[in-house]
Amino acid sequence: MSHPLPVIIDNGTGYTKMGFAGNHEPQYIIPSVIATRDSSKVNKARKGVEDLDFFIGDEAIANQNSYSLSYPVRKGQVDNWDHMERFWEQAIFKYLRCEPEDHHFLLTEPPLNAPENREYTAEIMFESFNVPGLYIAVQAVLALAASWASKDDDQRSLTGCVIDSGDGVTHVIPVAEGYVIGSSIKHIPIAGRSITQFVQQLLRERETGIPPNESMEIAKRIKEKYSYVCPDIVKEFLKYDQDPARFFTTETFTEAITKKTYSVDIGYERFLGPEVFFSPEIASSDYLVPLPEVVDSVIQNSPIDTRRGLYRNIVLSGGSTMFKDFSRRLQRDIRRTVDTRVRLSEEMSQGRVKVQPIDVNVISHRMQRYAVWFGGSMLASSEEFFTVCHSKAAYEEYGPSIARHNAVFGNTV
Amino acid sequence: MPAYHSSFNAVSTEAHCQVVGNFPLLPLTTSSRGPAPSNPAGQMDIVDEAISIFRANVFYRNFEFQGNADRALCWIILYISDCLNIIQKSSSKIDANKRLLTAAADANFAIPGDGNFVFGALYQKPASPSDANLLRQYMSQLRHEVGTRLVSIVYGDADVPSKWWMCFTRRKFMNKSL
Repeated sequence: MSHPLPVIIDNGTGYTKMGFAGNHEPQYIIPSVIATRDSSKVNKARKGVEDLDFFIGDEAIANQNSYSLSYPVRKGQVDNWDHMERFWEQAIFKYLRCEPEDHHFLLTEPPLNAPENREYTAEIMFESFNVPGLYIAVQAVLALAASWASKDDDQRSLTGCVIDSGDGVTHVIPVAEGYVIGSSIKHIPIAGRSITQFVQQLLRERETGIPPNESMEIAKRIKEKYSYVCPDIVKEFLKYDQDPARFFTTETFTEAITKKTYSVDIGYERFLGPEVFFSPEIASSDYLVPLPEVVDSVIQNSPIDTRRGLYRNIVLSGGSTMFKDFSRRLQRDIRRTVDTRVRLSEEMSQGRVKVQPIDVNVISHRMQRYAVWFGGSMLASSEEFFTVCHSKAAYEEYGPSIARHNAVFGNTV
Repeated sequence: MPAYHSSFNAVSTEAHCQVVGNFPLLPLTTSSRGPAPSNPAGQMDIVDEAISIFRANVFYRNFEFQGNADRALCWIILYISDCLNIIQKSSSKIDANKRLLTAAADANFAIPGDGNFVFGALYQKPASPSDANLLRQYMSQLRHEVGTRLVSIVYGDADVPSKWWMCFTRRKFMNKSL
């Protein structure tokens, strides 16, 4: 039986990614923000239709002077269901321009989401939009599925440790056979924004002539365009000394209002920015544990029979994991900790125990930036997807509680 | 990754060199007079090491002493920050050179055991006044070396200091300064 293409919507704290299954990239990436009008301020002519008077995404930001902005998703979870429903309404009818009665929907949720939230989602989807089928997938599991694109068929598994780093928070999520190991998840407050702020600070200490109101934006652009991860900072400084022409660059920017141009020299922040993940101490005074150590402790906290699988399959997802050589450095640092531990236990057993070497792999792939969405797109384009979806008929028979559990699938894709 | 440590830690014990309190008198490549043993030609000494590590370590706020050489390293790093501040106030390369030499010649700085020494009790007090005197002489040799080498590195052939060094003046290693 052939179906119209399923719709994938990944509602993140910062951005919402949406599009149709089978594509490589989301069709729309818009800020997860909604601009509504305060009902007391609506003029008489529009009284009665204020429900329809709102914008989402970039349009919302453009209209922020006359509307009030709000973010329906907070820390990954839906905060305001009324706003969320209206957000989906425009996402479906104004952006994707599809009939929700025809398409199956795949939505995403953060790990440790409450089952009640899935019920609310199901209520909105089945009752307001009348969708024929709904599946709610955990973001981390989709990120694991996205990494299959870079692997051979026999290595595809739903066991792995997902490092998801966006703008605000970095999550380290162990997943075994498609199920999140909730008790060992860790979050660290270092992500894209902390790096931007650190780059901004470095620029402020050195460069003169950057307009203060643009410095954040400049720092962000420099971070995105020039940053990379180096193996050792002292050696990297020496490289810059020996071959300045190769590493230092200058970029010219134009001030938005006055249209004057100014130039900014770019140097050490290229590798010091992403270094914050590996030596958080250099940028923050309250958070000190490096990412590789967090990953190691997450895996050590997981059930013992899953640990080898987790070390073998450490998967990256999100924009802040896109720095050049990020995976290489992470893999080196984790491997170092693991090897030290193995050596120590062998020494303590005085040669009676021989440990089988532990394989540490950090997997980097092309779909990393929108890994969650892409994973959803892959899974939803399989025939199996339609069999695991909650159907409209089942919803009418049993009610929203059916959405509490979503079967794991895709191991055989 | 934690802050960088000195590679001289292994050779900074009493078996290898003289140690006053717990501050090692490591060999130094220098022409100034003092108690420092001479460094084999062409090899890196503690001042070279401190200058190369400075730019990385200056970002760190925590440091664990792993040996006597680390104590020398930390103190030199703080003195480098001091020197950069002097360079910032100088009008030219010659002026900077002069100011740094004056600063190095001033024998009135705090040494371990003094009440106003920056690391307090982390550095042991020299056992006798003559030891204290020896340490003071060695430390002024270090100051002299740091000053002269830094001028040539920070200025190069130009008459204005490199901005790629001056950007570190506002940073404080371990939130301390001499």
